[in-house]
Amino acid sequence: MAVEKADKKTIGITPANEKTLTALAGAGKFVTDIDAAKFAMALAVSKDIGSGATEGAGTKWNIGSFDNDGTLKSTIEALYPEEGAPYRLIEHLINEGLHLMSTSDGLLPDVAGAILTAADQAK
Amino acid sequence: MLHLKSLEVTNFGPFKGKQRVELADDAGVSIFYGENMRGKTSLLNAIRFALFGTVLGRGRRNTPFGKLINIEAQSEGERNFEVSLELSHAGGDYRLTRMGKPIPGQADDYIATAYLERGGHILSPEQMAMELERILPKDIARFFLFDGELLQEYEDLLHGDSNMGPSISAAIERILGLPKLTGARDSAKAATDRAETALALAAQGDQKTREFGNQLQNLAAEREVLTADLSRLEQELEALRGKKAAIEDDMRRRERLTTLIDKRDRLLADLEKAEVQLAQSSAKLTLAMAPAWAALIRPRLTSAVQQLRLREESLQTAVTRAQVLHSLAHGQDPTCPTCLRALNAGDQETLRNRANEAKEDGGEANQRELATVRRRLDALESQLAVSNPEALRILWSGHEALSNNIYAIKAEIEEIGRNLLEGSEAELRGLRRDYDSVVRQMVVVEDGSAKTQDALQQNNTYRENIQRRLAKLAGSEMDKERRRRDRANSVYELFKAAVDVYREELRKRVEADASKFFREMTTESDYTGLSINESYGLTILHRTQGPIAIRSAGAEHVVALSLVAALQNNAPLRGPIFIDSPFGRLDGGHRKRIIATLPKMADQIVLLVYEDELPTKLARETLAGDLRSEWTLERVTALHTRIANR
Amino acid sequence: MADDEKINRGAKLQDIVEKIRAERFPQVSRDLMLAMLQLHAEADRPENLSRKVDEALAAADKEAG
Repeated sequence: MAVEKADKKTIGITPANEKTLTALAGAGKFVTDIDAAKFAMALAVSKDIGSGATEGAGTKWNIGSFDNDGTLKSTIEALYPEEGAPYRLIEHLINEGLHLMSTSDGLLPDVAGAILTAADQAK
Repeated sequence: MLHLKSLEVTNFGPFKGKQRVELADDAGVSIFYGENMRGKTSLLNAIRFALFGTVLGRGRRNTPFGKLINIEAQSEGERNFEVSLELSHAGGDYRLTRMGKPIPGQADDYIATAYLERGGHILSPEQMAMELERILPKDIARFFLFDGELLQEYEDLLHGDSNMGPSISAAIERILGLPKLTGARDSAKAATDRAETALALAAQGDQKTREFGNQLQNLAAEREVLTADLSRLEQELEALRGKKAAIEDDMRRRERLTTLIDKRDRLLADLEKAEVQLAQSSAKLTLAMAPAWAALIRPRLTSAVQQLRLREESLQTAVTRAQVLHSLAHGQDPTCPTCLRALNAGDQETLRNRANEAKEDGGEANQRELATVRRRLDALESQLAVSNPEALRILWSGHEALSNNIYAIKAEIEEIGRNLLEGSEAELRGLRRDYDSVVRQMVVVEDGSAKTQDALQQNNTYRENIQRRLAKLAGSEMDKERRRRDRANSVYELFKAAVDVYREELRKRVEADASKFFREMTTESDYTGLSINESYGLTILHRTQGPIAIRSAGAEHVVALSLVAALQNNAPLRGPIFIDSPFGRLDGGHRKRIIATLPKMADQIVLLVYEDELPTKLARETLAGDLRSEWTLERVTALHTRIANR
Repeated sequence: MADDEKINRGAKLQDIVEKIRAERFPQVSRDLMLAMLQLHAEADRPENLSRKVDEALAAADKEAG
């Protein structure tokens, strides 16, 4: 059994990922940037990003607003049963996902592309 | 038959000094050869100047006389220029001289004065005007002074589907002698009216019939007013018809414009619809994207669910077994659920020990884990329930298609906008308004015209009534006047009928002659002739296709020549034909045929050509005995041309 | 020759009018018709044309008796 570290109470974004998050929210027609953050997180999961932690993430949301009924935590726990600090992992996955979606040549995050890939994989 | 005997020019245009050209008395063709700018057009203008006192420059504008004086002569101190024609007509010999002189006190402004001699006697100015009008009326001149470069004038003649201007058909009818009949008709009508008035006066003179006489007078006055009204209305209608036709032409030319505008309006409506659809799609997408993250990891969720279910099952089994053991261990009269044997106290003791071990072995842990597993399963399944990557994909690609469609529509609208010239749309709407307005006006005028005609008809009926009663009442006193009125009226009806018959007869004759000339001159064997409608519009007749529109400038040329020849053939007024550059745009085949046909067109033909246009050899061979004389316009200096006999 | 032609062409017009006169307007005498035509030749119209027309009609009245 993994050593249980104390889990995070807030979730944050690195300064570098802020711009990407805003762009993603727009490109993906998300109502809130929380939805966009979840999308980035899921993208990271689909790309097999494993355990880890993101440094310098700041504080953007508290877990009460981010995951008020705890289903997100349960889901991540189900996917990563060895992980002892699910919210830390979630924060890490979000930032990794945003990093994946950022590009250097001014293109918007490719939301449609991600969905297309998911649709193909689901067949 | 008008015949030009000689032409004398003095300091006119490029012709310096006094130069004389004697033309043959016999019928035939005279040719003047001159390169461009040597004075061919000036020669034609000299004749025009002598006959009418006007000269045409480019664009058919009258040239001011001051420009006609020969420049070299002017620099040598000469001020005046002159053209003199010797003509024979209907057995009489005439000499027409017209001079250009500077207006005293104004160096550049010139005035033209002319005099006409007949049989050696100078005529008074009034007599001169009358004689000239008789010999070659100006508005018919276009059919004799044929300037090939000014073919533009003929274009009106040559569109079979348009009504020719009344001035041209009137001119044609003048050439063909119709005025004699229309004149007689109109005179007879006037005589009838005069006889009517005389009759009314006679009726007024007699007490018995005075009242009728008065009424006839009144009716006559009313008739005059109504007739004038009708004439005015008909003129208005004619003018409106012309306007309508012009607007229709204009609108036809802008048809493409109308199509573009309609298309653009449709596209704008499509754009509005598409933008609404896009907004709806956006809303749907937004709704669907909230839980979309789960769609990205659907396979993982599914396999996690599978694993957790297995775990749940095994945990559940362990928990159930522990519970059964516990109840067996602590219950009253327990029975083995498997073999149904009753358990004794010793068995229960064993079971209790086992149950305690199980608890220590983590039975509670199992229960806790089972709860966790179940919690996780719920979370996963709730995500799976709302994750539908395929549905999302459809929404996204649908949205993109709508968005692309909107760009395409906008691009098309912009393209159309570029093709519509600025202000042209407003122009077209203006045209449409004008058209509607003209149509409305025409309705009003036609209505007025119909009412006036009704009134005239009524007036006529009353008049006839009164005359009948007058006849019964009056007896023989007014017989004389009545007979005169009847006779005049019969003459009127006679010439009225004659006008219609003759008009049709002439049209047929001109059509037949023009067709004959056309067939002789055209190189196209599939053309069988020309067709002329009531307003002298022309079309070419094709052997199998029937009437076809005249399209090329060359065809117009040949058709115009055919018409001129036919008119000459049928006119009581015959004269010489002067043609400047007759072959302008035509090929060798046509040229040869035209040359061969020329002598048949008129008694006296004068051609103004340049060597390349009509090689001397070709002319001599083709015309043979019909060639009367050859002249050359020779360059002495850039500003001085000499007319030399070859 | 030119005058002959003119006469010829003029005659054609005259023939046409004569035909109509004979068929439909016999009450108009041939002389009167010719007189009208002569008066209205464009080249030679008299100044007092309307008077001349009335005189021609009067002459025809007299002829008719």
